[in-house]
Amino acid sequence: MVEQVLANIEDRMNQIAKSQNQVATGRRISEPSDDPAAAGELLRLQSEINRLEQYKRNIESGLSHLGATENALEAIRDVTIRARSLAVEGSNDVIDADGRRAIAEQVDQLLRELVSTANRKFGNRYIFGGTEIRQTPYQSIEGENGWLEQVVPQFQESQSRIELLFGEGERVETSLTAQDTFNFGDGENLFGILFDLRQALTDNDGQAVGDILPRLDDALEALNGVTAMVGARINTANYMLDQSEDRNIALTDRIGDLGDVDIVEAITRLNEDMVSYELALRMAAEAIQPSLVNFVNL
Amino acid sequence: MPTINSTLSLAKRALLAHQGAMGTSADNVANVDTPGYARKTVDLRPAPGLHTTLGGYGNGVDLLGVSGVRDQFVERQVRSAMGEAGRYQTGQQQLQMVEEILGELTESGLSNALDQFWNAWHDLANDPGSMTSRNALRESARHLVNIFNNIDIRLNQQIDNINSEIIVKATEINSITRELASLNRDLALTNGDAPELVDRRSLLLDELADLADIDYRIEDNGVVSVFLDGASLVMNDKVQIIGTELNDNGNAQLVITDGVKRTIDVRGGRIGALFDVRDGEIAELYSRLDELATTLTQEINSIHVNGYGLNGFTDINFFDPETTGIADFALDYRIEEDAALIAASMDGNAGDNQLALSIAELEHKAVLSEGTETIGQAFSSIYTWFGAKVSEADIMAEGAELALDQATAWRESVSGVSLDEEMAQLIQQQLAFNASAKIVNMVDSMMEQLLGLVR
Repeated sequence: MVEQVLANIEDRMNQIAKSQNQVATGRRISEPSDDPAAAGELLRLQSEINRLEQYKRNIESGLSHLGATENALEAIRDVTIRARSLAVEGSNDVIDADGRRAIAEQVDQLLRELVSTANRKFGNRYIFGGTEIRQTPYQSIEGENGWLEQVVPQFQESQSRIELLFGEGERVETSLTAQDTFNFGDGENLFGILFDLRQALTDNDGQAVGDILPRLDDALEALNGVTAMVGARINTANYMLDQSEDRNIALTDRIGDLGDVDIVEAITRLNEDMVSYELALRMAAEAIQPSLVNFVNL
Repeated sequence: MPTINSTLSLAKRALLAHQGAMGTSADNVANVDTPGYARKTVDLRPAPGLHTTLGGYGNGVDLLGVSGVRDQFVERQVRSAMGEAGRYQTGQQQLQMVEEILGELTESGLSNALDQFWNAWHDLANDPGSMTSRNALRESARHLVNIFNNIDIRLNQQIDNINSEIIVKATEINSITRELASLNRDLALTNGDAPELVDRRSLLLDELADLADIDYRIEDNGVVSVFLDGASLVMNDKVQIIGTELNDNGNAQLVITDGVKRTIDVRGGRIGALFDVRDGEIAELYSRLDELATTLTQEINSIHVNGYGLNGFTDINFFDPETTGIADFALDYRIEEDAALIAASMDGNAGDNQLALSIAELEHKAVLSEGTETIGQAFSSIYTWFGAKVSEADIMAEGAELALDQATAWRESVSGVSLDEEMAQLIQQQLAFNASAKIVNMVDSMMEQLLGLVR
């Protein structure tokens, strides 16, 4: 009987230790043996949340790249629009050779701006460099008269775009190449158009200047197309960001369900366990004491 | 016909018998806590009577002997329960220690390290031209390697401990069997009737049963023979010592030289559990973790060698290709020296991140368990499997302890000393003694009467 009583007391003590641990850590599962299947799932869920956070970081990195690209495109568009209004001005019959020369000077400035924008950096990469991050996309060669003589592309025949992982199996392109941006239509090139414009102005050829206008219009249209594409990618990325927020919340809830202990429930249980324990002790004292030894008068 | 004299000697015999009985009760009370003690009863028989034509006349009581109360069937049950309890308790303890080594649900676990490792590849993909992301990647790889190596070290320690424990327990068995052999000699001399010797024999058999799944047989003269895995450990006063030597894996095994040397396969008791855990659960855990490490190495290397590092070098391994498991899992020595050799690019350009993307995507590729599990899933499976083993061990240990409690209670009820019972008996015996003393008094005064007749 004594053995039985001792065993009971030890059981209650173990139960108290367990409940206490749950209250102190807030966790239902401290060791896999507490609930093996749930423990395994918890690990997988934690991995998944971790992965989600990483995708979030990836998307944010992509977004900032796309954002920088968007800004650069804006600048290029601005240059193109100003070139167009200069072309309009220069095609006017009223203007004379000197006037045209002055406009040509401004076009040269635009060219320099364009090269500068084309060579813009983002972190340690060139925005329009594709995977060739060591190579400046365009090299500008100065002429003897203080004007740009040539703009030479430095990149390979076909550039590769950069992809990032936005989700499982979701590779998304986050860069534009120089070819995507400055070349369009049938072998047309934005630099080429501006050089032609400058030449026509220098030649004081109003007709030729007028012929540039439709080409600039085409350039603008192409630019709009590319800008829209980048804009769409940015929207998609933001959408994926929101989605992953939702998924994160759902996962966190699930982890809570599996792994956390309901504090109120745990504390209640702990109290019950302590009462049980005291009861066991008291019963033990009462059960063990009486014995015939006390009653025999020898 | 009984005379005064014969009545006197009858009363004297009664006094002696009841004194003896009281002495035995006192003996029982004194030994109420002694382990292995079986309560003694006295064998009181009517003394051989006188048969005359006028009828049979009794001659009082004789105390013929004192013996311990034991039921051998109950004893066997208890020992069998002890073996089970010893086995499952030890198994539970050992498995719980290994569970701690795996220590997953904290940040320092393997699962977390794997997650961080994949993260680092993503970060490299986001910024393939930088040394910063390569340094960070190398650090997280080092961390992963450390965790694997560490698990190996601690598992090895556990195995060493188990091997030491096996040797210690074997020594314990030997000291018990030696004592049993010499006890057998004394038991044979007393024909198994001496209660103290029988008590000692019982205690020693209990201890043996707790350690291993022994078989034993008690002969009519009290001598016990003990066997383990068919080998004789104790036969009369001869004992065979259990030796230990190393097996092919460098682990301890038990041997006995019975003419020919053979190994002993222990399946029960504490020693049985030690072998079970060492050669069963721990061995399997090792093999599954080793597979994880080698697969990780192979999968990553097979992609990495095709890529280009920061300075254009190619054909470099990421992990040491000579890895055989968690013990020697390591980074390739060239990556250890120079993080710039970490490849992110597939086309040779520093800004290309295709390789880094491919490795990051490995996380979701089912490369283990015949193409059904990713690395993360395989690990979580190992974790669940092991957790279930520990949980199972907990349940078995609890059940075995319960069974042992019941069996022990049963034995107690047969052989244990109940103070209440002894008290009641003492009262009876004292009354009987007093009554017999009164009879002596009466006979004495009758004698006086008689003598008074003759003057």
